[in-house]
Amino acid sequence: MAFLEIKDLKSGYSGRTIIDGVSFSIEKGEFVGIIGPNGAGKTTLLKTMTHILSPSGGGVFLEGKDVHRLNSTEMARRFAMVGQDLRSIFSFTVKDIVLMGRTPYIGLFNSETGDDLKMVDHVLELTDLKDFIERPIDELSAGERQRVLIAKALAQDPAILLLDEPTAHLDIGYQMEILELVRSLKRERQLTVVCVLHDLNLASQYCNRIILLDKGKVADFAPPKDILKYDTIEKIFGATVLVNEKALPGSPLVVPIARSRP
Amino acid sequence: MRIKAPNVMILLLFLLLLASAAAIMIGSVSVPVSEIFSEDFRAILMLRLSRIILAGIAGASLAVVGAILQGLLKNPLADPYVLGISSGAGLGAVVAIASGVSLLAGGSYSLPFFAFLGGILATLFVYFISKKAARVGTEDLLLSGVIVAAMLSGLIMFVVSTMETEGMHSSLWWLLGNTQIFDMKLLTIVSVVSIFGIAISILLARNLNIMSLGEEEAIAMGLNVERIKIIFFAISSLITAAVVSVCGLIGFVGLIIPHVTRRLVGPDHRSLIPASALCGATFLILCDILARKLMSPMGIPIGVITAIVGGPFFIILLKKARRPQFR
Repeated sequence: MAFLEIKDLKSGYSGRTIIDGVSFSIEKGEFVGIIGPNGAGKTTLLKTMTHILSPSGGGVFLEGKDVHRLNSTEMARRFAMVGQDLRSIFSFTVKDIVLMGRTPYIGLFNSETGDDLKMVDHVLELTDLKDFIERPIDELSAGERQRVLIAKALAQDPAILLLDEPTAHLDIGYQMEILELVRSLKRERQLTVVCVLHDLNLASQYCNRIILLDKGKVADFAPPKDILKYDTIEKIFGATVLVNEKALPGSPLVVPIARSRP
Repeated sequence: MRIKAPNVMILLLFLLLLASAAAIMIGSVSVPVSEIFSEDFRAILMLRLSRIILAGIAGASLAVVGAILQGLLKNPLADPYVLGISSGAGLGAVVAIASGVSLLAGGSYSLPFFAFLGGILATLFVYFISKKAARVGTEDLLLSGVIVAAMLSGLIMFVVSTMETEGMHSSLWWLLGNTQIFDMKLLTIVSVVSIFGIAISILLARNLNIMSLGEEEAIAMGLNVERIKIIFFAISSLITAAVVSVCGLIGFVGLIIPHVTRRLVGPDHRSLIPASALCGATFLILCDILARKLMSPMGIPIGVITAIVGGPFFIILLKKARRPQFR
C-alpha cells in the first residue's frame, strides 16, 4: 500500500472541473514537485488534498484511509499547508501566528497549554525565528514571513507538508533559503513534501520526483532527469528552452531561450 | 484563558465603575450627591440604575458584536448592523407603532417583540441569500446585508410616512436610540441574553484569531469554519436583536469601540472581546449622561450623542495612528 495515494481525483469550483482524473502515489519521505502551466490545476490539486476543496470524484488516501472522511482536526494533524504569503489583516506577532498552528490539538473552547508553547519554541528554533518572536508579522520581509508560515505548518506536527509556490514572492537568496529549510526539515522529521513550483531549476534540484500537470491531468510523473526535456517543455509550456543535463548530474538545468536576440 | 494585558483590563474595569458612579450622581433632575441613596430619592435612583445597566449592557453588546464581525468578515467597516439586523428591527418597531399594537395590553412587550422578530428575520434572510451549496461567502454576506438593509429602510420610511404626527415622533425617537426602560423584566431578559452571548464569545475568541487569517488558512489549520461562522452569526444576531429591540438603533459604538480597543490590547480576540465589552459599556454610559443632561428635561436621543461624540474621537485616533491596524 502506498503511503499517500491519489485515485482518479476530480475537483474544481462551482461545477467547473479543473482537475480531471488525477492519479499518483507518493512514498513516505519523498520530496515531490508539481509543475505545469498556469491553469493546469496545481493549486486546485493541493487544495483537494486537504479539506479546502471537496473532490467531485475519486479520493485522497493516506495509508489507505480516505482523507475526506477524516474530521477537520484529524486532517490538520496529518497535512499542513504553506501558501505564497500570509495576509493577516491584524498585526499579530510571530509567536501568535505560530501558536495558531497548534489549533488541531486545542479544543474549541480551550487555549494553548504549556506543551503547545514548548512545541512552538521548538519549531521557532528549527526555523531560526528566535529573534523575531515578538515582532508583528506585517513588519517582516516576505522571506521572513515565509519562514513564519513554515513554522506555523510545523507546529501542526504534520506527516505531509503541502507548499503552494512558497518562493513566488521571494528573491533568489530567499528562494534557496526556504527550499533548503524545507529539505532539511524533510530529512530530520521524515516529512513527506509536496510542493508546487514555478521555477523548473529549483524543482530539478530539490525534488526526488516531479509531477507534470497539464490541463487537469498528470502528463508525467518521474525523476527530474526524465521530466525536464526540451521537447516536453516546449510541448506543454510552449516555451523554447535549452536543457543542460551535464552541469549537475541528475538535475537538468533549464535555460529559457528568447525568440530573437536584442 | 490567556489575557494579554491584565493591567489594561483592570484600568478599563476601573473606568467603567467610575463612569457608572458618575451616572448615578448626574441626571436631568438635580439631586444632592449626599442624598441620592436616601429613601426620598429612591425612585430616581432606580431609574438611573436601570438606565446605567441598560446603557452598559447595550454598549458592551454592540462593541463585542462589532469586534466579532470585523474579525470574522475581515472588514474594518463591519458593525453589528451590517447583517441587516438594524433595518429589520426598525421595520418591526415602526410596524408595531403604526398598527397600534404597541398601545394595546402588554404594549411594553409588543414593540420589543416586533423589533426582535424583525431583526432576526432580516438576518436569516441575509444569511440564506448568501448561502451557496454548503458554504456562506463572507463577501456575499456583507453585500446582501447592505442590500437588504437598503430595501428595508425604504419600507421603514414608507410606514413612517403614513403615520400621524404622534406615531412619527415615537418612531423617530426609537430609530435614534434610547436607554429609557421602565420594565425590569425586559431589562433582565436582555441582560441575560447579552451576558450569555458575550461569555460564549470570550470562550470561543481564539477561533476568531484563526478566522482572521482567511478561511482557507483556517480550514488548513483544522478549524471547522462553517460551524464557527454559524455559531458567531447566531450569537451576534441574537444579542444585537435583543439590544436593539429595547434600545432602538444606537449607531457608531459597534464600529469604533473595537478599533479603539485594538489599539489598547492588540488584535488577539481573547483580550479584544472582553476589553471591547468594558470600553463599549463605559462609552455608552458616558454618552447617556450627556443624553440626559443636555437639553434636559427632554434629553437628546443617545444615538445622536454617540455619532457626534464618537466621530471626532475616532478621527483623532485615526490621525494619530502609528501604523494601520487593518490592512
